[in-house]
Amino acid sequence: MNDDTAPPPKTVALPKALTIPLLTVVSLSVFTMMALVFANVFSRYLLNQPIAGAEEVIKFLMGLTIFGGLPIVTWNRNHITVSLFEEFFRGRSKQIQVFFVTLCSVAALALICYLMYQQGLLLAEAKQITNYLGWPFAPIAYVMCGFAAATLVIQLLLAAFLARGIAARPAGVSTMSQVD
Amino acid sequence: MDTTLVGFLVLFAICFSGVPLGYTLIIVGTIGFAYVRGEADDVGFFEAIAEGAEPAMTMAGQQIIDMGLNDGLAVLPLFVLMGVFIHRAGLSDGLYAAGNMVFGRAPGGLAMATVGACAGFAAVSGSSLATAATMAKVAMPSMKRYGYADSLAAGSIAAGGTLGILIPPSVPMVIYGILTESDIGKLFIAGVIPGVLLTVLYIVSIVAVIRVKPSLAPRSEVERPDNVTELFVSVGGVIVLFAIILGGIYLGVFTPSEAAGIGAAAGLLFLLMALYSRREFSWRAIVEPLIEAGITTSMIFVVAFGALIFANFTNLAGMVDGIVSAIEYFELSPVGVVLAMCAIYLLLGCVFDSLAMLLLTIPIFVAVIEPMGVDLIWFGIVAIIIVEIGLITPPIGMNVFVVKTVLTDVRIWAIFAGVWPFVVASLIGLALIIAVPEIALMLPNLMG
Repeated sequence: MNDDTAPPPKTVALPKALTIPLLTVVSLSVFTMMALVFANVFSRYLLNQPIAGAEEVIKFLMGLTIFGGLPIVTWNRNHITVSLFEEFFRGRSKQIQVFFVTLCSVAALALICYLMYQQGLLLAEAKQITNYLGWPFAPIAYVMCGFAAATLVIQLLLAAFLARGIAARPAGVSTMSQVD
Repeated sequence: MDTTLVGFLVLFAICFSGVPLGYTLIIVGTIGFAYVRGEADDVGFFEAIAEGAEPAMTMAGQQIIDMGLNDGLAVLPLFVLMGVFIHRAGLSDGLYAAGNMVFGRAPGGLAMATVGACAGFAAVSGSSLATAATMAKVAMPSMKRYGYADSLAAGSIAAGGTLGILIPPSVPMVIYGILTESDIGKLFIAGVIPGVLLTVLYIVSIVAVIRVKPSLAPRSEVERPDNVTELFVSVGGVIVLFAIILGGIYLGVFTPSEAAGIGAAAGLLFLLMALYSRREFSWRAIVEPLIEAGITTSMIFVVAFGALIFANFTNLAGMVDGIVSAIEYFELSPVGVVLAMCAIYLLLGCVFDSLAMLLLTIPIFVAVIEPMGVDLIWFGIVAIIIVEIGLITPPIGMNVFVVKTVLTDVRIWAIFAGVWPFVVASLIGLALIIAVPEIALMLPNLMG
């Protein structure tokens, strides 16, 4: 069969109501981190005074970047996986594989969600705050829990679309690995 | 030790089925930790897990919070961001033109220019894949034009790309530093001489290959650059940026995080200049690298969380003690242990990609070698070179696949055939660094 005549595969995009806030959180967090670190160096050398509380803000930005990016990583299927054996799964075994991957991913995300909620409770109970700005740590743990919950929902959506033969259209940008 | 073995088998079984590695590590690590904690009371499997669930949850949650809210780890997203900015700024054209001017007349000169340009690009990018993908677009057309064999042309791009993670700044080095709590600045400095050594060995291997089979690379001519200003901006920019980052770290002016922030800001400047000169300025062009860096950060940290949680499980289960006993039984020297680890890496490299391999093994390996007095900076460089080899050898060979994605008309096995001289060169470099650790440690030792 000539591939040119085959109908294009159905695709679905993540709703903009979700992607825009998530991508805004991630991009703003990364940009602010860069700007703060850069400004802090100049402030330290030129004004002889580092920006007060910059490191504490960066702590929170790290949490927002990592967990804010998680739903997008999941939707775009950018997770680091061992893909060597992917081709062995076809037909029925492929369905079982997708079900198993979804099950394990949902279990892991539910666990992360619970762990962050539990840490939030512990941090709130201990009234943990940052040294200089006095920002409490508990809310950021709850925010991280919220992002993990959103990722869990996205993982389920992804599985539902996949089961109906619909592929996910990547949100944001196509990522060239900057890691390896 | 038996529990750890079962843990590893379950881990491999789950992640081979396609479950994300980070999730697998988190699940197996947490359940394994709970089991080992509960096992002390000599109860059944599920009772043991229920018994140890609370401490396991606390440990896992604490690891994620400690790592996820650590300002010192901002070095990772910032170096990733710098790499993305530089990648999109297109500095590679100028670097290749400069390489061509230096090596162009020699037999195989274009392949040498490719390796040289890769080394230059690596000095401002922390990624092998980005280096290989960038150079594939830039270097391949002229090598094709002069009739270079696909194997040599694509092989030199794929292999040259691996320099991206050895020549600092390097994202895998940052990850290694985070996992082992090593000085990232010293790791970067330690990568300089091995990076130069491997660049030279790659160029020598091109010379050797062409001596044996001159038809692989017909003689080429030095191509005059179309845009001399672009050449000066690219080469000058790379030299200045590399000098600021590495010089700043070496002299103790910046911490690695600060150097990363400055590097990212400079990368943004390069991108803005490139967009202005190409008249392609748009907000999207600025925001996309930020998103890419954020997504990459998220992707890495999920696995890093899992790696630490899994390492807590294996440590509690006594894996390290077991390995140490085995080492004592076989009377292995520290170098013998490192060689054994190299062999394990080469085996794992057949299944895992480079980052997965590093994250999975480093916390465990380091727990074994650190008490033996093995220098962690030196071991970091050794591990990175092995990862480099994994990037160009089958069946995973990510760099080869990236080059294949860009050069669709080149056969994958032609690229794999072309990288073998470079694999040999890498093995020689690795052997030299294992035999003479000063190659890696000379510069960091001068830092004090």
